[in-house]
Amino acid sequence: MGILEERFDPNIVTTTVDAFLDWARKSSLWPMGFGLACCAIEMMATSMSRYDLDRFGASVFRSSPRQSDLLIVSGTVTLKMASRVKRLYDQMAEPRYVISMGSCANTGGPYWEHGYHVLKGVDRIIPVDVYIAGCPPRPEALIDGVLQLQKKIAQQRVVRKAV
Amino acid sequence: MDALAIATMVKGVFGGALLAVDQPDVEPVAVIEPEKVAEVARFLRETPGLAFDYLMCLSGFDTMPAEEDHPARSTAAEDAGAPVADSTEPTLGVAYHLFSYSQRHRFAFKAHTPRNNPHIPSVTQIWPAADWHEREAFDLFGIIFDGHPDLRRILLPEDWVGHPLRKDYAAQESYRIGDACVQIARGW
Amino acid sequence: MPFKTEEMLLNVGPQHPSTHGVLHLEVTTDGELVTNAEPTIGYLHRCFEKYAETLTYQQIIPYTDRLDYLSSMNNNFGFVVAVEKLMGISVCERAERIRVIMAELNRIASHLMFIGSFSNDLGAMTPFLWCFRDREEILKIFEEVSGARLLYNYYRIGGLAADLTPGIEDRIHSFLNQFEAHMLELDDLFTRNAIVIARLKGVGMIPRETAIAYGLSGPMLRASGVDWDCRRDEPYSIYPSLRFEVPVGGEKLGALGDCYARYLVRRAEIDQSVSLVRQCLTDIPPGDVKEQVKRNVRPPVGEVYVRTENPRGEIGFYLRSDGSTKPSRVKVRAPSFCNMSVFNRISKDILVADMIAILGSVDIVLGEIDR
Repeated sequence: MGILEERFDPNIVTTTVDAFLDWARKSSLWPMGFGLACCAIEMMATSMSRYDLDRFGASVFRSSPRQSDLLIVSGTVTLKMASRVKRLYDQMAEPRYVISMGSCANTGGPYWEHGYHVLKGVDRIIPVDVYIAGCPPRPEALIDGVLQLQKKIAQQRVVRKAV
Repeated sequence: MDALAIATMVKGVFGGALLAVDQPDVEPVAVIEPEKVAEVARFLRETPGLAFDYLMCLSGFDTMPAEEDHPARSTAAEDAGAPVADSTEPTLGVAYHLFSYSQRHRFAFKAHTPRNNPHIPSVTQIWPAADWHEREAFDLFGIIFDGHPDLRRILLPEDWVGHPLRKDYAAQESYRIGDACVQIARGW
Repeated sequence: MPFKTEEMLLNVGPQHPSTHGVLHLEVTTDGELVTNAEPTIGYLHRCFEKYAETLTYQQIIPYTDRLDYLSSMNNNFGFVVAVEKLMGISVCERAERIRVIMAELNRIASHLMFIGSFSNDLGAMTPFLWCFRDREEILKIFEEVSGARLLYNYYRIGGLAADLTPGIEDRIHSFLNQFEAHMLELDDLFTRNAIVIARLKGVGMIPRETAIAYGLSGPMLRASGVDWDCRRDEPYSIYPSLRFEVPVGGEKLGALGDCYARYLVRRAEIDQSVSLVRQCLTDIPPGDVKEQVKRNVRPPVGEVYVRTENPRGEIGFYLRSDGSTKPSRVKVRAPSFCNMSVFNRISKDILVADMIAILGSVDIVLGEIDR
């Protein structure tokens, strides 16, 4: 803390604006309650009693994209659904983050070869921050994905320009 | 009632419209002339002793053998030595599986229709359950059910080209999503 | 001045908390009344049937997991029973016992998920948490035997992927004992809850004739008073040697054809499944459960339609074999698909909130509707 030390009242914390904003953002991720397929069941299990995603501040599932800042693409994105996923992403307010959960959302997964109606990876239509492997990923894997995303958010520079 | 006995009954009423009975000793499937499907269905539904009130399943199918380069396929058919159940000219077809809750018996029949102009009378008036099944068979095989009240695609988007479950279906190269265009074929 | 009302078009879904996935409802409303609700499906069409034609019979099993992902064991069961019928082979007693145990446990898990999400649709959160607590215990058992939490790929044509792990019988028993007590608590909280009854009684009536005509099956059909269960009336596996009741809506259950009856039928089925698992667990005979057939099975030329009882109704597999290692056609008669087709018929002139209750009581899984 250097020169600032001992200059203020005891209950004052000093930090940078960037660190403060990043801390606030990463600690209250509001995911969108958006289930696509099998992975959605594991996503629900993650937020339920045993795994309790709330411990990481990321389980306030919102039903509206306008209120959420994390899109967990939990399942197979089909071509019919793709335009809707894109629109939901567009409706979310910045800053927004995307977790691609499971093989289907990553690459098309088991529907890679003959899946004429399956989008081969959700990253072809929206940008993705964190990919989670698995079919479906275990709840622990989803929690790890959220933690990785939090790490990523903690490194963001909002005010300071990158040097 | 035994499925073979029911087939005999149908034969008695419709005569030549019942073309054959496939695999009589495993699970008999009557083959019906496509034009007569709705009449036969109504007969099966409304005859008191038959009373087929429940359409379990309605499935489209394509009898064309899959791509030639599968050695497993061609040799296997020869090994089996069985006549390929469906005629030499590949056709599209629809199979109907029926059940009666009052009589507790089941029956199956199917109809073949040419690939280039597939038409089969709709049975939605007889079993409302057929509505979505027929739409699905239309969507995936392109079989046109005459008399269906609302024959639209059900699973695939409205602007889709082709009927994917036909054996000779070639997937679209790409598909438009909003103002973007994504590749369907695999690989980056 | 008289008020003029106009019809309004309301799009529910594909992203909506009570559509249980990616279902799209085009709802026409007249004030608070729903005049028409047209479901649009296909947002999860994953080309299962095309895939099945390119895979060998054993390779299809993991894809059947992904049809109705809440009851993977039952899907596996239906598919292997169909292929075994096509090939005319039978399975040893031990394997059949284990198959039934897993299928019935999965039925419980699936019905728990139904109760949880159904209560969530009605605006209650607690049953959801309670049901997931017990569901996790079942998943733990499944994980022990199959290695997966959700999509098990456990059944094989002619057997099973793996035998039971040592000591798992005791763990299943202790789970069932604990679970029964939990279900009694749930009855106090939900089944006999005055608000729940007020929300569900008389809502979404499906008369017996409509249920049959639209091809409903499973709890939807039984709630409408049709006494039919594939496990008892068109038996497969070892169900004929087991004792169980088939809960049917009507006098005995206290409700007929409405949402409450559909709930009660599923609730009663949980108890029956518990009893079935207990019966199967006693004196499991020894035997080799590994499949006794070749990896690449080659059924004779022919076609079968086999139906088995899933938690949601009858899952039917229509298989056409051309004598090669790959089927020439696999059609899945998905129970949710047929159950959903009646939705438009019964959701006319009802309140918007009741429409959500009806949708919840149908208990759809989009994975098998769209395949």
